[in-house]
Amino acid sequence: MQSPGPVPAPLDDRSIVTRGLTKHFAAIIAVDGLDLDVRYGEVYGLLGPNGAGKTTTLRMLLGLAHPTAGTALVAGQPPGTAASLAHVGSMVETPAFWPYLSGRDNLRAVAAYAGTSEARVDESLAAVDLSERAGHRFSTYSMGMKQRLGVAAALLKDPDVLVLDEPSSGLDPAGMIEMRQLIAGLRKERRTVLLSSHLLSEVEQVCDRAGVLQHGRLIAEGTIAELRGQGRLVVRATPADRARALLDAMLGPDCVAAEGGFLRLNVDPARAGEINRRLVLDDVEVTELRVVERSLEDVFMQLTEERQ
Amino acid sequence: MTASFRSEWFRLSRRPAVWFLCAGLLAVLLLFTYLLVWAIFTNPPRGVATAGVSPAELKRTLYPADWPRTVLGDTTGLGGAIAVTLGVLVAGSEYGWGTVKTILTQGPGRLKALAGKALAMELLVAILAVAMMAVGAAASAVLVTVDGRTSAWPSAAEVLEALGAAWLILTMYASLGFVLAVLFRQTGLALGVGLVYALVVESIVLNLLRGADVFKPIVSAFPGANATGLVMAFPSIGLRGAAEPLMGAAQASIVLVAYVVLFAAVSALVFRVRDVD
Repeated sequence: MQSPGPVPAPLDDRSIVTRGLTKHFAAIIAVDGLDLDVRYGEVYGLLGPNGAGKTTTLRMLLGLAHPTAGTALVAGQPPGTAASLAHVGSMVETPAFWPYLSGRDNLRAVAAYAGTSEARVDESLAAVDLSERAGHRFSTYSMGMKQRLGVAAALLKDPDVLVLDEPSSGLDPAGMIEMRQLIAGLRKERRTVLLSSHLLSEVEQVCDRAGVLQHGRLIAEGTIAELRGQGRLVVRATPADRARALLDAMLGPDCVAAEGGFLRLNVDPARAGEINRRLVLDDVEVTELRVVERSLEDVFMQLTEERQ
Repeated sequence: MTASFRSEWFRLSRRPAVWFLCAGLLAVLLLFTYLLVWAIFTNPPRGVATAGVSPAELKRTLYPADWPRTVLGDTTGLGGAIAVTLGVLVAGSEYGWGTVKTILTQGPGRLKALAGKALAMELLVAILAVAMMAVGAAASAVLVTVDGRTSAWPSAAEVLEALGAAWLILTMYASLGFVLAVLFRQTGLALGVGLVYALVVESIVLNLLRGADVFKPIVSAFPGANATGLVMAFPSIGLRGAAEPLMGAAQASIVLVAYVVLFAAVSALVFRVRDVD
């Protein structure tokens, strides 16, 4: 039985590295010169609209698709090699299993391919709370159960790196919460998780860092806080036209926008006191002044619309 | 490769569809090749054409002496079609279920995974060949007893040769289904093309063409013609004087092995280089 060797000694703190990774499908450029660095023990989210190249990137990192150009290392090894995959658990797109087998037998079949012990089968089933239904055929499973079995299969090898494509896809709200808890648990265990997601709130909650893909290119990357950038100030003041004139003069018209009875100020929130003082000194009554954090959704929409 | 074969056989041996197919071929062998033919030759309908051979003489094909040859007759035609279907199911269903990626992401390596799959299919075909010979032996023993006749049993060497021939012919057809499934990455189209080839091109078109001398060299290059040639190389008491085979057993065997190697090589080449969806 093949058993995973020791974890390759990291040359640096990166678990997944790509340089100029490119994939063409005839005239279509799915991934375009992608440089990606995912550090050991972090949860990294790949964001992007449909067709941005997220799944193609993950497939190349698992050896399912051959890159047109560029290089990659996963767990210190070229992607798709036995040495790399021995340390990588994955779930790409929908979980795929043999419908006539039970959940447990499916994992046994997968474990035989992976060369892992059958004892891991029950441990993995327990980790995703699927032990009770493990004897039932896969074809009778709900979408959520199929998704959980996919995660159980990804955990079979006790991997250092997990590659998860839309892990919450098809799950109900309770299932999504469970999935986030599971990913949080993986982070606590210092496993590296690379996930793609459409759910910005999910990425916001579980990821340490995220990258935004658009037309196969990485257009932004950073911690969630870095991506959000600084918050903005919102002011409600009376009379509104006088407040607007004062703020235009003080901050510049480009930094002030009226929005549903508020004035949205695109300035450093640290200037809130200064702005409040100026308005009050000019007999403008400030009824509300607060900082509004940008959501990842705002950032995502702004980034992807700018590049259209 | 051992791990791949173990996983593959673990799944294949639990898959109802493949056993239904095998049981179907055994049922056809028992019901149509033996029982129905026996019933017809025992009570021949008026005007039944037997090409000048008496029904009693033809019944000897159902007795133990002809048992290997009679069973081998079922490995081409419908047997070939069922073997094609088995090959398509073994390789093609993985594309429909999306389990190719499940397998490959476990790290067995593409060629080892494919080799494990092909070996599991070979084991299944070998079991089918043994089961066909066993059903044929049992049926011939019962029928010769019911008729109150005697018949010598073939030698162990002849039985082993027939078993090998059955395995080779079924392997060739199963490999054809296998390579079609890998090429088309699905079961539907692979099954359609494979069955049309086995049942229409080989069984009808080439059988018609083999009657003309000018086409014989062309026809004798096709896998089905060589499968038929290998079957006809086995002796038959009941079918004495039947048409001469297009080629000898050795040539037919070599051509069939060459086709199996060709189908395996094409499958491996395509599976190795192609992206997995």
